[in-house]
Amino acid sequence: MTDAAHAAAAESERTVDRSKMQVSDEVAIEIAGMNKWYGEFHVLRDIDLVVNRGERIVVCGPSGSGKSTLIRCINRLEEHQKGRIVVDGVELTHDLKNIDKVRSEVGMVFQHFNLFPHLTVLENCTLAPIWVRKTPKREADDTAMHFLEKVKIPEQAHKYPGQLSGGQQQRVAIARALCMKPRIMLFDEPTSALDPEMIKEVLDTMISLAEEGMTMICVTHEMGFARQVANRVIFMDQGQIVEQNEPEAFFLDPKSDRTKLFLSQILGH
Amino acid sequence: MPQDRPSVAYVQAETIPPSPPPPSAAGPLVWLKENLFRGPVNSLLTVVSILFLVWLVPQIVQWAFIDAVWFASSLDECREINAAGACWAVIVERFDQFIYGFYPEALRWRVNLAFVLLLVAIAYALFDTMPWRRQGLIFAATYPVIAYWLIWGGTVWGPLLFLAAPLVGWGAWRLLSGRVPSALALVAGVLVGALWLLYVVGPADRAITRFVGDLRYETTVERLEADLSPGAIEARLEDRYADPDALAEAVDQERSNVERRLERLAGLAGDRAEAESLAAEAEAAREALPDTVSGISDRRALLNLETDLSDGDLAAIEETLDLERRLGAALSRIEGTYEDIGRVGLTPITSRDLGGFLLAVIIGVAGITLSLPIGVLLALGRRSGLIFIQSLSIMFIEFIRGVPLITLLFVANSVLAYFFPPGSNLDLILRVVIMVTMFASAYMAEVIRGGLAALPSGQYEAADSLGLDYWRSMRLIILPQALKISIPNIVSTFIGLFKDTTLVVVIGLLDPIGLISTIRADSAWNGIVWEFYVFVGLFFFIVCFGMSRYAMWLEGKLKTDNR
Repeated sequence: MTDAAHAAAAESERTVDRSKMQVSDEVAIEIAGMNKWYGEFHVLRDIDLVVNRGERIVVCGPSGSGKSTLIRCINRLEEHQKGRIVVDGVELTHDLKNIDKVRSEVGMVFQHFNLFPHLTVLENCTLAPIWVRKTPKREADDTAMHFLEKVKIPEQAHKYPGQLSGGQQQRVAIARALCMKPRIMLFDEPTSALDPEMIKEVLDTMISLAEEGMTMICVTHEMGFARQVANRVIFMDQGQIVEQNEPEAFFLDPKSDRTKLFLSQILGH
Repeated sequence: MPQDRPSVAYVQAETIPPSPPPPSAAGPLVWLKENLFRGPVNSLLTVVSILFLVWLVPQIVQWAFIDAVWFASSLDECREINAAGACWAVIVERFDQFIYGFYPEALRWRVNLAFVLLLVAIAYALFDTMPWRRQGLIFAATYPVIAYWLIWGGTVWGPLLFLAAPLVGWGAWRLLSGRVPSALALVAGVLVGALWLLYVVGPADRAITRFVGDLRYETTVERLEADLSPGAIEARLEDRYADPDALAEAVDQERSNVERRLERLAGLAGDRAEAESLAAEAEAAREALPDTVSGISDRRALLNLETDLSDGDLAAIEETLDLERRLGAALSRIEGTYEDIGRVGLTPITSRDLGGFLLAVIIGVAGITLSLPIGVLLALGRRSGLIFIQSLSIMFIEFIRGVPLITLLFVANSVLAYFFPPGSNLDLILRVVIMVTMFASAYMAEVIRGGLAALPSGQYEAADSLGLDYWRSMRLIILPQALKISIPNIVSTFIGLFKDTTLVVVIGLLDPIGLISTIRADSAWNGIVWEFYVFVGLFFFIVCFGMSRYAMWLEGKLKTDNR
């Protein structure tokens, strides 16, 4: 690392307020014996994972390890073929009503933002509350402005996504998910498509979300973020959960050879 | 390190302000050089093109405007005035026919009104900045029914009952939703609406007309009898005719008309009695038929076939058929009388009276407005995961696209009536509209499917992840974007459809192209070719160019990036 990069890294390490980051005994997500295939290809193998309310979990692993697929199964953007997934007490089956219910309680942020380009930032944020939650438009507007302020871009509310920078778009995407008042947030490599300058603003937003006690599962390679915020880091390879531990132990004392190799590769320069 | 080497360290302290480009990079001369005279080949092409235009344009102007004859009563007269120019006189003289076809002159205000309302409806459908937008859109949605009534005439009940169909379907859906699965309630709602259209609208319309006819019977008879008293008709008509001979002729015509109506009214009771007794006789005759025949509906065919029926049986069949025919005649006579006195509405016009641009616009507008929503549904159906709906959509699209439109029009002309309940007597133009719509919908579906495929899958996933159900995510997220991408192709399909309306000439409808041959059959104008096609071509060009310009405007308006 160059000196400048070190300085930037040091700057981003702001002190994290841990007072509300509490893990309760209540189970938010339960995944048991879950398997998934794409045709013949076995992408997820015997996944067992229990996430309690208030947990902040970082999932990492080499590309193709199934980490994105795993969190996309949690709101059933992908269908699993074996085992069970229970989110907030609702089991994901073919029942469309259950799926829509789970999806409205689980917010998701994508690598490529996936904002709706034909709607303004504000409309992006109010669409689901109005049509899914049946919130009155005025109330939805107020909520949306509240969250846009929180991600620090209220002045962009009436612009279209195409007019914003990548970092701003990703923060809008976070606000859009938050407007549904989700109980769980999923992040699918939220900073991978961003310029280095913009990564920080998105990570800051995610940190403040964690500070409020949101249950989060983040697929990310931002190890600084993992160290600061996560209470658990999961390492996946070839469709399996290879290792999981608290961040300190995970980074300082990885147990499996595969984890050691992975960490040496992403932290090695 | 040697001192004479330049240092690599460098700092730019100030921002360089923007400045205008040098004259060699902008301005009209630069534009000319860049676009018209870039290299020898380009320059040569420019010169040749200019020479060609200089040679061509004056000739066209000379023919179409300077030497043109605007007023004359025949081609010969045109040629006498100026043989070198266009004979626009034929267009001037037959202009009304080109617009209205054979629509009765006294009723053309209905077409004009329908056209003005069409412009209003189109304005509301196309531009979202109109005042009273909500009311305007409701009007635009009901416009087709209003226009149909204005142009074809008939009772007012038919259109009203037709407009009630969605409400009836919605009512059925409301009644059932919550009690049965939602998909079933939806299907039931659609089905009830369709059944209402097919089996309730017509009979209810006739029943109301009959009811009103009964109410009006006495007063109508009185009024007609009053008309027959000496001088009554003259008094009514004398304002309208200055010429006494014309007045006398009109009065005579009106008098015989009144007499005929009175006669029909007087015969109404007799017709009903006759119908009643014929109905009873026919019923009895049917019951007396031998068992082998009574189950067969098409008994007329039996008479022509070589069957082993005895002569007595054949005679019985013939008698039954005869009774049924007479019963039908009596019933239609009664109905005609009731329609005469009980109609609350406009004088009916038959489809054969429609023609010219009126016909082209009717078919074009109906086809365009129907093919877009049907195309959307077919495109969604083709991409749907439900195998039944998907294969149905694919079969429809592939079949309709694979068949020439002319074939479909012939089908509309002859075969289509078999698919509807007997007696619904679908109008020829309606059948043509159905076929043209189906044809355009198939193309439209593929155009829109292209738009759907062009959307990144992230849009579908984002909509899903927010908990939007299928129809909402389609309506709010996917279709607005897919349709926007598809605008150029959608408009191309629209333009193609509108120009294809000229094909109806093959089944004997007189659209503008069809009228050309009709007018040329008139000996006064026989021999004119160019003027007709230039005129008709110009009309189609203006409409199609308008659509194209609207599409460009819409594309610019919907552009949301880097505005």
